[in-house]
Amino acid sequence: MRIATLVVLALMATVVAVSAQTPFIAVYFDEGLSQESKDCPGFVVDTWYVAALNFNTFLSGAEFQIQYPPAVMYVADLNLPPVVVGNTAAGISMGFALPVNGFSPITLCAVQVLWLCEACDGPFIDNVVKVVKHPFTNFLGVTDFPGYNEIPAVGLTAYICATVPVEETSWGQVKALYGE
Amino acid sequence: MSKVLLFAASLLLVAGIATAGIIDPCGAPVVYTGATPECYFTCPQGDTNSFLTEGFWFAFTIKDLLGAPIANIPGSDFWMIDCDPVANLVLCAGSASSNADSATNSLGKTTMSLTSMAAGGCVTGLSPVVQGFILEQPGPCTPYCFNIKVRSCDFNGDLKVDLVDLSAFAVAYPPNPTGTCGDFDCSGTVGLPDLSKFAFHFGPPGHKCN
Repeated sequence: MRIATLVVLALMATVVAVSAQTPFIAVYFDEGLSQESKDCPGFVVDTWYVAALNFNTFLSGAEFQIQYPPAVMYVADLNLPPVVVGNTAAGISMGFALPVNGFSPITLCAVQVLWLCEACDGPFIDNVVKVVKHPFTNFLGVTDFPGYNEIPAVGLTAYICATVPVEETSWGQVKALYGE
Repeated sequence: MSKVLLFAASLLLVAGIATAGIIDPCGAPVVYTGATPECYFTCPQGDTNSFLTEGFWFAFTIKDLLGAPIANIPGSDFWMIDCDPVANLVLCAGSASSNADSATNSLGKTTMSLTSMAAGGCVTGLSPVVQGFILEQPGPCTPYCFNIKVRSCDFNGDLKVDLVDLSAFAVAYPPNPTGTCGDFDCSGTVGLPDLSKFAFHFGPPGHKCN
């Protein structure tokens, strides 16, 4: 189980490395766009934030899909721009009424999810929130302004249920793990 | 005999005076420079790119029925209409929807390049008009019809971009795109660049004729 934690930390380090240069779209768990992983807070409705970073241009639209893990149930998208086709769970295309400043991080929208904490005990692979290509247009990225050119982006993966609960064990059981 | 000749000469003079200065729509060559087919995106507010920015323009030489060039026709007397047999382009303020760059010079020449078009609808061809005359190709005297696909964010041509147009755009968008009117950049598919353009003109407030 601790190996899983190490893997999570290693992946998060990779995410930080990627995010330093490449335009990307990612899910954050706080409005300040700094929290990249989260443990289950209980059976509550939670708000996450989808942000576009490192584009260094003015943006006129964005397109992506979010793959939600079993540990949460997608409820709704919030704070959307005026023209939207689809939703984050099925694939969303959004256009801004006025160009937005992509020279600094931009919150594209917020999403509401309902935590289902029992699913946190599932395999680690299930506990990720992935930003992926829109399933119908096969595009992940933004359009700039005023050219309306497509700028592809990398979709980052956020992690939930990353803290593994401590389990009582014995030396015998530990030795058993190594076949001794 | 001389009276007959004098009478005939008088008639010709009167006819000449009467026809001088009247535009000959079939004697006014129009030179189009640009791609074929061309693609142009428009909005009722007229705030899209100029023809020149989109990479095409027109050069006119306007002559009267005697073949003499007509000078000083105001640029606002030139505009474009559609020549699509199955669809209509709805113009904001009619003839003011597009203009020539300047009045015709002493050779009857002017260009249309710096104007944008303020319109709604979705058509596949444009014809030039001067003072109400649709210009015709010299020889066959059939109206010019340039292969320019005009797409507007005002789908239904009511000269305002509103919820009806948003609904029409949503239908045109994947996964089940219908028609080509939502393909604003004529790329062959309706995608995010088209949606972004639509959003800019949808607002709120939705763009409409000035």
